[in-house]
Amino acid sequence: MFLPSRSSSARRESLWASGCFLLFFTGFLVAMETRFPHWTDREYAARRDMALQCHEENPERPMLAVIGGSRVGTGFFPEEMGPLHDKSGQQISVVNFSHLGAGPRMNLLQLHRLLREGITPTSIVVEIVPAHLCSEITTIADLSLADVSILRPHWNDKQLLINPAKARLKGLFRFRNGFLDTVAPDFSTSPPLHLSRYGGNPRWLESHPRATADKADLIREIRWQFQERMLNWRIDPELDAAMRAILELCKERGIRASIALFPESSEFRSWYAPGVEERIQRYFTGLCDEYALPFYDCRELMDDGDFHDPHHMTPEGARRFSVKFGDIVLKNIASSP
Amino acid sequence: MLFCTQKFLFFFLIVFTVYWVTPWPRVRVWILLSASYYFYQSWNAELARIIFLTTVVDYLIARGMTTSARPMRRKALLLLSILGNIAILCYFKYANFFLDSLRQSLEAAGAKSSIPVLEIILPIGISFYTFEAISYTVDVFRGKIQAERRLDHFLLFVLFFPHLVAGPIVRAGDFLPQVHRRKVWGWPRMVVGGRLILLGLFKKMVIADRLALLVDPVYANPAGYESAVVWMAVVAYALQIYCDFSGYSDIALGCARLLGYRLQINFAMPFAASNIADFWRRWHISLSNWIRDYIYFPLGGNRASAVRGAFNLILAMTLCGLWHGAAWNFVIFGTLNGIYLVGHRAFRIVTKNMTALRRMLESTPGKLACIALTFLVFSLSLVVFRSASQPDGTTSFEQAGKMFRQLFVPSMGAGSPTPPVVFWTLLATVVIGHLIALRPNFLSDWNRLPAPVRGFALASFLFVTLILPPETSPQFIYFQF
Repeated sequence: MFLPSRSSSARRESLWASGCFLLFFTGFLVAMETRFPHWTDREYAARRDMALQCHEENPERPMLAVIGGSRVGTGFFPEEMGPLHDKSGQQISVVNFSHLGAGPRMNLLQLHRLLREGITPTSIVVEIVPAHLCSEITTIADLSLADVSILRPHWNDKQLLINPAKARLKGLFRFRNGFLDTVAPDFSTSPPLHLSRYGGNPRWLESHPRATADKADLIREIRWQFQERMLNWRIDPELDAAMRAILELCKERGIRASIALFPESSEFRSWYAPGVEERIQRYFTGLCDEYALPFYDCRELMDDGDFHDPHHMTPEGARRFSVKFGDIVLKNIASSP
Repeated sequence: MLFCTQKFLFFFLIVFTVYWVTPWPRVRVWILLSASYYFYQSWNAELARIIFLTTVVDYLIARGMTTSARPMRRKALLLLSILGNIAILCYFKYANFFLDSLRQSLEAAGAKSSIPVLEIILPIGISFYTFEAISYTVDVFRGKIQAERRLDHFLLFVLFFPHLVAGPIVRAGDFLPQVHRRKVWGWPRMVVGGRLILLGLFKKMVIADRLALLVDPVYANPAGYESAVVWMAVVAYALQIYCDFSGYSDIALGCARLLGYRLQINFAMPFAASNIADFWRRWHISLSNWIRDYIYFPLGGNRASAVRGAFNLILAMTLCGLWHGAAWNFVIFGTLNGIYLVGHRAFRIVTKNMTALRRMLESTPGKLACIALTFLVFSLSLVVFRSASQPDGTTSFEQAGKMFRQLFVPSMGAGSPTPPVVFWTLLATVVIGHLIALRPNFLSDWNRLPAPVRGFALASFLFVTLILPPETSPQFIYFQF
């Protein structure tokens, strides 16, 4: 079956096949790194599409982007707030541009990504989980080379190069859904993110692997994730630098920045070691004084009944929080000069 | 270790490299034997030892048959081998099925039963290598082949990893001479092996795994979908099982080719069959041939009366169905196909002298209609085959009943769980694939193309194979058998 008649013909066929495949593979990687960096990161791709659409619909409107980690992703639905207007009476587009697991580095990257797409928000709210100032865990294999170059000064870890390089070896297979989303969306099979118009994700619990987990197990797991960092809270200089890089970039581009801490349940707050709370306050107030920006500590804003787990709100809790956050924080930001 | 995983890729690359850099034929056999044992024991080490031992026993029995001149002793040894293999197969695969059926019968008769459910792990591929072992001893007994003298060669015949877990069911007469033959590196063979592996990966990862996304939810809850979607799922399952199993077979054939062995092809464009008898000559060929040679012919085949011939056919096909798994839906699937075959035979006899009808059936539209009908009846028999009992206690028959109700009573429900364009594209791919492969001069035309064109086409095919697989990849369907 299929037998080529001559050995030389078969050998040439193999060589041509290998050569052409290498060419395709290289072409794919080059396209991904240069024109389609969002192929590597599905959450970013979904939020990018949302932000671009929002920007294209009303290019004249100022934009307020809330960046942060899963607390923002699951807990802030801009759609729930009423329309927000600036001092001159112009409506502001508020978008949720968060990323799962984001700490200072990922927030810096998200801001760069937004700017890379040609969107310069007038204001941003940077959400930070205090524990993420001790250490930040990011899926670095999903970073594009452009992302790596942004993070390199703030992340002195050879894994930052090794992991994305390893992922590129499986490039076609690993990043195929990003490619398919662009080329043939019907053939993409990655689970949808269900983002609503401005980036809220009210259906996040439906697709969450821990949605039906036993509450006690969930608490134990989250406590295990955070306890060490909450007991021995100390700021990693690289993460502090990343935090400052965000604020410097904002200053440079004329973006008004604010810092916010999102709600935590009383159980979660009880895990802070004595004295850590004061250090956290000192750090943030110091930083905000230095850059002359507002600091909003919303950690105690919601009741324990609004939480699905110790630091993520239920969709109903998130709806209530979004309204409160809009009234207390965003209106304040919008009306400031 | 699934064929389409990174782990298998590394495993195979190591085996391939070590195999070809080793110049000594005997050592090469040991390399393959060790690799095959490692391959199997990566699933379950204990079961690997059981296969190893039963294979050694079959080797000794066959040797005993060759050295013995007494017919009675030879018969006894054959019986021992057949019964031993069937006993092992029955224990591992069918014990709970028989006990469960007995329990249900007793309960239906009003008797109270305390028949236990045995906790048995089903050795993967047991149906395949048991049949290989049986065919070997039967062939030695019949004098068709000589008993293999060398244990390592015989072990490799049964344990050779490309065909170990899901076939094709190889015959000793085809395989053992190849073990003796000296293997020489050759580019043509390598290219053929590579193409087969690529074709198999495409069938499995792109077509079968994508169709599973449509088939699985519909078969799990047929009442929830509209009739048109259920019809799509029925067609999709026929394509899925074909691409899944023939994809596996292609990869097995390709891997064997790269190591210098040639395995029997298992599928020959079955959906181009214009009648059910033709279909079974093209579908899972190694099993169909095995059933024919070791069950149907010994039963008398069609040499006896028409009624006896029909009975033999139905019985052979019922056993073919049971071979797939220990469940009544497989038995019914086999019986149903046996009835189809008998029906087709009767039709041929009745219409033998109806020249006008024959001419009509042999015309192009008639042939197309026959192909469509063959596909349809086979796909409908697969509804029974695929319907599994549900966690809510719904039996496989009830589930099949729900499927048939949705198929034949037009009803409303949810739309397709996957975009319909995906289904139609995959269906078109299989049809076009059949049309291309059925062209009389396809292979020679292909080989006449300039090497850069062939290389470009293969690279494009590999690119598509890596780009299009869905997020999740289920296990090969035939691994469960």
